[in-house]
Amino acid sequence: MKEIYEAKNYSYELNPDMLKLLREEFDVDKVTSKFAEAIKGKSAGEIEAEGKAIFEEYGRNWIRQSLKLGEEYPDRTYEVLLEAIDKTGGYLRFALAPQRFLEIAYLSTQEISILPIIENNVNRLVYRMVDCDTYKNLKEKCGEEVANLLPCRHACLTACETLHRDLEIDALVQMEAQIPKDGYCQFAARRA
Amino acid sequence: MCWVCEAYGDPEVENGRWYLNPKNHSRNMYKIKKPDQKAAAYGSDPEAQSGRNIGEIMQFRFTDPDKFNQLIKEANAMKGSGPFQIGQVIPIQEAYKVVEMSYPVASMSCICRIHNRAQEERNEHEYSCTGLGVGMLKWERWPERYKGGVNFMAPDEAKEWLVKWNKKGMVHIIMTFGGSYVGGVCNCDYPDCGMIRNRVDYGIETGCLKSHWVAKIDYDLCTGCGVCVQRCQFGAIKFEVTLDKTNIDQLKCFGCGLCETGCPTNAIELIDRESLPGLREVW
Amino acid sequence: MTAPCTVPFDCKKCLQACPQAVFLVTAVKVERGKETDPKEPGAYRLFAPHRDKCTGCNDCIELCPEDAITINFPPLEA
Repeated sequence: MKEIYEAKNYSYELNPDMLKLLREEFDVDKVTSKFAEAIKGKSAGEIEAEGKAIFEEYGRNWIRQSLKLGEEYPDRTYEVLLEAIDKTGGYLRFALAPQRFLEIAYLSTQEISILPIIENNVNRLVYRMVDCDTYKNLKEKCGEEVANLLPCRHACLTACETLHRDLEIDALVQMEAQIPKDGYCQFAARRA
Repeated sequence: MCWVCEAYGDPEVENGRWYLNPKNHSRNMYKIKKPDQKAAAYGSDPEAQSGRNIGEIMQFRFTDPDKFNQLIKEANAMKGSGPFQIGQVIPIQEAYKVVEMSYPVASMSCICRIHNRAQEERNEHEYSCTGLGVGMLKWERWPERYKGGVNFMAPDEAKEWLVKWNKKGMVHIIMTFGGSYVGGVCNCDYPDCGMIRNRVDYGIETGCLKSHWVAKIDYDLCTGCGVCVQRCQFGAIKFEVTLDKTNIDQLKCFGCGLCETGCPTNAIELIDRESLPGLREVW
Repeated sequence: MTAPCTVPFDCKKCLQACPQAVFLVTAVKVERGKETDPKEPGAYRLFAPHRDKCTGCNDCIELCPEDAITINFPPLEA
């Protein structure tokens, strides 16, 4: 006797409450205002140092909270991913496990409907930010010159590095493109 | 040159083969829907849409054959921007590379066999199609499409599984699901395979392009046993009585490599289609 | 194909017997998260999209428990 399959009423999307919590805590408007305040009257060298300090801390907390809430608010897509990882002996946890948390982090704080994933395979995880709200905010608050120094890159780089470290995945993180020059920022994690 | 490679290949990666370019295997897992946006309905996916587009054109065979021929011609000329999904035959050696680089890889039921033979594949011993990519994580939305579910496989398991179907005589076809995004490697069989049938019987090229390879026979090694004749789904091979050997028509050959993997004396090899001036524009 | 055939996916005799594979069956009633019941009358429908490949062997007509299939070829011209 064949079974007729009937799935439970699963949700495959990210939990909206989780996204809201992250959006409130890691509002790009707040962190860019904090940065704008901190660099008032400072020299170029000091601006870079302030940017590194502020955005590294922001990036680290942002991704750690995304990891924490991402586990607390699972969805069916994630459950099946965990089953798939388990079924394949954990061999292919990279790139989809980190990809999920990056998608949570960016989709919660940026006005985008998808995070463009350029590569996701056993070797590389590459993603792109095209219309970045952090960059736009910096441009408004600190002027184009400061924005183009991309102090915010420290947030993305730290987030990506922290994520892989916390997931115990050995990966080398690099920035492959920058908004002022290329029109988008691109980050790549390569499995070491 | 292969027009899909021209559009979606990277000359730096795997000789520019579009289906071995990691970019064509990558996609986001989540999408934030607008508040008023409803979840996608069944059959709104590129695969189903392509099937309906073909179905609409097929109707004209009975009502207006001239228009049918004209529409096929136009659709073929539109290539990837046309109304059909893109598919290309690949030999098993390249299918191995695909399951090594794409993730996740899952076996699942074949939609063509469900539609054309009411043949159900309900567990991992029966599944004959290979799904690739993040879409496999959400199959439960439409169990009618993925009858029985999907079975995730590590690369080594996937390769063994491809061998199983290759031995039985299935042609591997790499398929796109929207643009150049690769969503699966089908294991196909004429006549129930829609893609092979549409190409061989009706001339719809986009869904079943010829592979980058073509079979070449070594007459010194061929014993004329006829195994390859049985395995060819494209009518490219026959036994040639005059020579007492097998004859392969390279113009009809799709380069699937089934004759090569079946040949007991290794008399057949696959050579690069583009190395032959008479075949380099035959896709 | 015509009215009497209500459970083509469950029966599948014509689909599997046709040497030319002219038939196609598809679910016309699909719900999210639920597999269509092949035994539910009318949930699946049968078509013959490849009927231009039919040779008139009549195997399907003989197998069909509902006498739902007819084949029409134009008469021979005198």
